[in-house]
Amino acid sequence: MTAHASPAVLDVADLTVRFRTPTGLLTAVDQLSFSVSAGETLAIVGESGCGKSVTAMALLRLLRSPPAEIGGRHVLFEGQDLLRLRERALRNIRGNRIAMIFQDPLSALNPVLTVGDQIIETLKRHTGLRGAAAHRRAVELLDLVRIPEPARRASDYPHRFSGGMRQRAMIAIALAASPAVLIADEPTTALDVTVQAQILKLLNSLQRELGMALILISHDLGVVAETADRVLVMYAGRKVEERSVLDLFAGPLHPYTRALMRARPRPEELREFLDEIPGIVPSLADLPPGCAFAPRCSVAYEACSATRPALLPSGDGGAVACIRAPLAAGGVVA
Amino acid sequence: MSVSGVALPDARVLRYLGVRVLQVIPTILAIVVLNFFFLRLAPGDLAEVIAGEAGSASPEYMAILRQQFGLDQSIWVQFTKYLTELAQLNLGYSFRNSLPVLDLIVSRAPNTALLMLSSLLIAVVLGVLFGAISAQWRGKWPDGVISALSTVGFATPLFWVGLMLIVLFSVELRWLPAGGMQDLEHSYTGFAHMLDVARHMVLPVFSLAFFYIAIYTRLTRSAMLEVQELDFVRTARAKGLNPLPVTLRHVLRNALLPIVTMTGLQLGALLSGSVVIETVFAWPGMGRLAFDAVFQRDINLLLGVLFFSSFLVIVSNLVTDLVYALLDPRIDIR
Repeated sequence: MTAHASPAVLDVADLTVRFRTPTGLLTAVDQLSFSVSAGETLAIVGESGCGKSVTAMALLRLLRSPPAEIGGRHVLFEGQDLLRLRERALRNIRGNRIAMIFQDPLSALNPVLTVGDQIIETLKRHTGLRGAAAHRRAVELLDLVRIPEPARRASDYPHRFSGGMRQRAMIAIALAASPAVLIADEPTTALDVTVQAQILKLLNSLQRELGMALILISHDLGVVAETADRVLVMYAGRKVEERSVLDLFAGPLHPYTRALMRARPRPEELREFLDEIPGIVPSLADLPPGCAFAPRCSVAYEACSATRPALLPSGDGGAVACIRAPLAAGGVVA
Repeated sequence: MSVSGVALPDARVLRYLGVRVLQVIPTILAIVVLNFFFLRLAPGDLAEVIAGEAGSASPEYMAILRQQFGLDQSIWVQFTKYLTELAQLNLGYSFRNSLPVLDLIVSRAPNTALLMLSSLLIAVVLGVLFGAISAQWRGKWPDGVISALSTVGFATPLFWVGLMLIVLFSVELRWLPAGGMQDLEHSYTGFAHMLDVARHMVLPVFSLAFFYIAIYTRLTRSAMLEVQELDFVRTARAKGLNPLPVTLRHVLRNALLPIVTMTGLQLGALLSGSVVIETVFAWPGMGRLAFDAVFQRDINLLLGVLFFSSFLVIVSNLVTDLVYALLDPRIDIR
């Protein structure tokens, strides 16, 4: 499926997440499949509410259940199925083999513990390091994420750190046990643009140094273009397109992907208004029977609303779920 | 690991304390003025009470008493005299007890402190424990049982709890003494004396603590449920920490902040609660002293007790602020 020869380190098959609500069962993630290999960056892209963050949380089963119900064929990681693993065994993987960083670094750190202590907590949990050795390692990790004066900063509380520094500290916590997979859920969304670029650069270089697989959740195609190897586009809880980053930006196949690209600001082409996608994201409570994007799609016709389009191979190692795709693709590539 | 943020620099603490003490002076002055004039509103005076007890309330005798007590002078003269003496830390003389007010307070205050602090300790420890259990098993049976009991505790008057405990444990079961602070038939010394006092303490301490256990249970429960939803708790779970460290280090540690505030604010209420309990259990403390002073119109004594109590409450609020700053590194002492 991918151009990468290396075997998948994490393989997700038919992941489904439902939420039990007073008004009924909502399907936030619908039979989502993807895999990611060591050293590879997979970006999961979509608008707010498309299920990308829920996917990230569901991989480590961090969603509270109830209301969340996580199901699927499997989430294979290092020979174990995370969907069926017992909670206790899963805790040995969380923060250790698979780590996570979150959108808002301002609230993701405990305000009453020093940054050093919060790194040491992970070290104590997953590595044999204790006492002075753990402290030394924590300082090394802060140095690794390019925090100046790491020895002094380790004893600071989070409120003394800027937003970018806090996200660096979060990365240091995530890297503490040398994970095989790092899930970054909108890691730069809450940060200033200049800081965003620094954090992305840092993530990229750390990934290369450590050979991790990186799952980058983002709504920002600019971020994705700079960072990802492969892109998975989600809409209303489903995968609508998955391509290598070069193929996707050269010729997006799904009308939704193309609409997303047109809605993106581009410096080479100054416009007064950005194109917007007409309509709103459909409520998960009443999705249309066919393609979920059909009501907002400019090239939809009757058949689109009749049956849900299957994922079809795009010929370049990618896949797209649109019955109008070949036609649409011709238009763009030409 | 590091405690550098916790150790407060002495000079700054002292300056902070200095400023706070200056702010307290107008408060104390207002309390003194209000106490003095409000207490004069009650009908009757010490001369009437004493003459009434002597059974010879002739106008001449009462005039002599009033002259002796200084009650014949105008209220303004009395007030000026009271203020001048207070400025020299002289709380006046209790004609009823034929002792200086300060001596009476000093002899009774430790008994009240023993009662209050034991109750407070038990209330905080048990309340936080029950609240934590309740929050952890939210919606399950332990939560139901604890919530029901805390509602009962919240709604039951202090004196009734005291009386019922006496009926059960002193009258019916004969396990514990019904009142007083020590056995009047024996005069124990050393360890036996401590044991004797402890036996007398059980019922009043638990009666007083009953209501506050309920308060701290409810407070801890709601604070923990609130903190549980915060992002850094999700971070802690994503680290792979076990549930107990997540609850203690991350949730409870942050939930304690409002509990500390509440404890400081409630010391005043606890003092008034101890007036009731001391009366029910014939506990020789300041509450009893104040209670008797009211009925005997021993204004000097009552003013002294009230002044001393308000002083205690102000000091405890100051201590609360300092403890809060110790617990929450985001609060800088200025």
